[in-house]
Amino acid sequence: MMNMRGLYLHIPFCEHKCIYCDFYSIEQTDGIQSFVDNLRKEITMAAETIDEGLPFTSVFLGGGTPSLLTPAQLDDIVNMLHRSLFIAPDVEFTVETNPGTVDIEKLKAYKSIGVNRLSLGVQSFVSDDLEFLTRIHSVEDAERCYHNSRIAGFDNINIDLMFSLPSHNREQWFYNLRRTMELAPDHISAYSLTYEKGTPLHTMLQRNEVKPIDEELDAELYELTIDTLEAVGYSQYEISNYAKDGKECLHNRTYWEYYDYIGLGPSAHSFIEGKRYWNVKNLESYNRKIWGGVMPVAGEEKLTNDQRAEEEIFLGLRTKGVDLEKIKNFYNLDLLHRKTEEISSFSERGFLIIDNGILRLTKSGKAYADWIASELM
Amino acid sequence: MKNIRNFCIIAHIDHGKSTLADRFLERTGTITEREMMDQILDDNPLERERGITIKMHAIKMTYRANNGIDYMLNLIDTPGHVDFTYEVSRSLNACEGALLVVDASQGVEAQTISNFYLALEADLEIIPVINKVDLPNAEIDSVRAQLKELMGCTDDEILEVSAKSNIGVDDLLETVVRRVPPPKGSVDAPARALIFDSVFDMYRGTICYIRVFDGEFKENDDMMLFHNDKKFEAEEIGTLQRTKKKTGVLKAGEVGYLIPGIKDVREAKVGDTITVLNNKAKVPLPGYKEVKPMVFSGVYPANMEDFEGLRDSLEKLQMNDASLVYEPETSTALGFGFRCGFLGLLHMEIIQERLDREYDQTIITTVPNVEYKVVLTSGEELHIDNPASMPSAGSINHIEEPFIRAEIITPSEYVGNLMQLCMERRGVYKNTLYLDPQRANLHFELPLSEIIFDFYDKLKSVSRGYASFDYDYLDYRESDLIKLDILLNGDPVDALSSIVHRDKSYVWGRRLSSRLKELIPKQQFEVIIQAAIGNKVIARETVRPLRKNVTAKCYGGDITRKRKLLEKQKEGKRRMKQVGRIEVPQEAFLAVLSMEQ
Repeated sequence: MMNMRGLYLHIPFCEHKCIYCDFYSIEQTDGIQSFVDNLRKEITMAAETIDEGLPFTSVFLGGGTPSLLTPAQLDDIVNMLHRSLFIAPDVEFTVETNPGTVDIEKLKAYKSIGVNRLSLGVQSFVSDDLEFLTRIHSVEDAERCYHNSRIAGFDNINIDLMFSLPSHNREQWFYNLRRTMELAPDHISAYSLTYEKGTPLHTMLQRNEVKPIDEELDAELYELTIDTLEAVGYSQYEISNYAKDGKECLHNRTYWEYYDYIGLGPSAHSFIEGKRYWNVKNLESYNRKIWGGVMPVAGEEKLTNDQRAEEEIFLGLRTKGVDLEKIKNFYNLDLLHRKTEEISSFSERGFLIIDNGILRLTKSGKAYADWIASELM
Repeated sequence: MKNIRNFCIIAHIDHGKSTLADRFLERTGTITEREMMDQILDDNPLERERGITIKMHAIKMTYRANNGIDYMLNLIDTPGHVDFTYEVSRSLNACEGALLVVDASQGVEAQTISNFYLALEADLEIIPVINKVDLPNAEIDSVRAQLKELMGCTDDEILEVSAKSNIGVDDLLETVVRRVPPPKGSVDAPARALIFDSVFDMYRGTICYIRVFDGEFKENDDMMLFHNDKKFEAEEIGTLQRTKKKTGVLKAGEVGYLIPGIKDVREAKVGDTITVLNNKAKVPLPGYKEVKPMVFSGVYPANMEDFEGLRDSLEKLQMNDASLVYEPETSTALGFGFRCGFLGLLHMEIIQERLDREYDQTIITTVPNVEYKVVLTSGEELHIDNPASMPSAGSINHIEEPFIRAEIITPSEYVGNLMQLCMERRGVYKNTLYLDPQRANLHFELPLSEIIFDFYDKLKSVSRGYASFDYDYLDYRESDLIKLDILLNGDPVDALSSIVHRDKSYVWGRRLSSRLKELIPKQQFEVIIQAAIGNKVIARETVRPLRKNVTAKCYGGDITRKRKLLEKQKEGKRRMKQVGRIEVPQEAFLAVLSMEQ
């Protein structure tokens, strides 16, 4: 098995912050240039603290809206990456792209800088939905962006979709799936709308200004997604992620398959050798720390043996399964023995199977991933 | 002895009893203002929050009257809630006089009346006092009229004070000296002292608060408790001033404390009589009775492993509060726990809160119920304090339930609403008296079980908060009662059974099952809730199975957060009780309390 190592860069700027988003970003974009300078400095600082012998197999720019970066700014960052870190020659290099922020020229420029994967924040092919979500792009923008990306030479494109919006029913969601399939992206992420605390959407919920769809329908839409996408050749390699053969997102897998990754930029998370740490979630204090020459780390957590085992279990269940032998050898945890009753009861209900020493969710079990995980923790 | 005055203050809640007591303490120099603050801070926080005195105390004051003579004033505090009526009556019995305090803006309330009758029964000299006379909304004339109507007193007997603004307090103290009679009794008569309160002290064991009626009580004397013939040697005797002041002796007419060297506070019961062996009385003081719990509820540890911890906590609580009773019981739904008996609903709430706050016990409680007398066809009589242990309908001849006499004081415009409320609660109307044309005093007899849920809240809401309510226990009466069971997926859940009146059973069953439907979370399978009388199902609801909880995404590198969410989910499950395969949250066991009436 190939050894993975991920690098995440958080670009915390948006022209407009969408009502459902709970990632860290600010709506002022005039600080981008000085941020880029600081991020480059953080790259050199981080380089001094990590083992330089292992290559980074993926680079992922997320946000915020990383596609607000000019090609020159992106180029500066990439140059610094190559100068300071060991970036694998066949690196998977993704930029999250808001369809409202790029034209063909910019896409071509990104490509020439080394970006080889785009994750397009399309979310919906229905104008009213985009308006509800307060996206800054239109349906036409999204389609144009997709085609331009192909023209620019991208052969690995993800489309982000969101289902279970208050207006959704089976037909409407299927319409979105159909439009997506017509574009035939390489990868699809489909998330059910969540009402995260602290977002304007959550406030609307509390004021009864928005009504979440029925849980039954939510489940139906989820199952419809799996069935539809698998029928046309996408495989569900994680609870919310689908890919054509060989187009699974390497960077995602780094998170889920328990490999090391480092995250730079405000609010970014890192995981190295069993230790998790995260950066400050505030641009000003991030800038101050970098100027002062200190790592902008806000907190860390050294995982206990049990916590690591728990994480491997829930992450494994969400993806390709839990390697029982590995859990036993690494964490001295005999899951089959410890959770005999739970495992057999889930198996009886057809939610879990053990296949060659791998504990996996069945298709119907996927719908209960969180519940099953919490019972096995 | 002729210079001793033993008295108490009786009042409806919030009519200013404690402020007046504080003023007395200051005026007689017993406690300085500064010490007053410290004292207040030391109080039981639960009492302060609820604005009630749970446990009474007594304090000795020295007052130089206008005639130049020093009087010993013993102010005996009384608990202010109906649950503690017996304790009130015992402390009244330790006095010769009572100040009946009424708020000038609120007028005579239900507790004013019940306290008045208790004082009358104890044969006390009652001094009517109107408090808060300086408030802008004081209605002194109408309150005077109400008091005259209630007590049959004259205008000049009524005093007007403002404890807060220190108006009329001196006059009041003079009146106490003048009108409250000195104690009767004799130092030479056989020794008798009334225990009007007892508490448990971690270092000293039991401490009794006593009023000596006859004879002398000295340290190291051999003494005896009447109700159980328990003999003991008095370790310490003294009076209650700012703190306990050891005096070594208490004589006829005096009030103070006695440390009997008894470890178990339950042996020194409120209302019991103490005598001295070498001057032994033949008969005790009248009025002793065992306090009986009226309201019962199951108390279970949320986690099975905490059973022993809960037992220890209850044991410690009981040391402090002899009126709490408990015994182990088992529920098929809840496992091992205790059936606890309380004096009333407030008492129950206080105990439950203390278990939580002071003893850090996470408990699941079941719906409170009363104790039923069940007469079987065989003629045998059973006392049932848990609906789950009700025998099968076929073996029952009839069931009796406790009734109370309720006194409701209300502005006359709400009489209609209140009548309706009492009728809905199976009340038997007795009569209506008018304290004045605007103020009615309704008398009802009601089943106790009908007022232990939300009667008080309803009373307040149908009267815009104006009506007040007090009650005392009457007797047991036959009622057409039946046991209503709740079944989850066909299995009866004993902790959800209740005893209801047949006429109300259908409505009750429907409401309870629909409330349970709201409270029981979706599970991985269908949950069918049924309400049943015997084998007959009278209501049915279905909790549809949970389809998923999948949508929680795991996005980006913040795995910590995801792990914590799952851990929380796991923790949430722990707080539920597993009933068969079904997870039932704690609130469901109290569903009845949150049911729409």
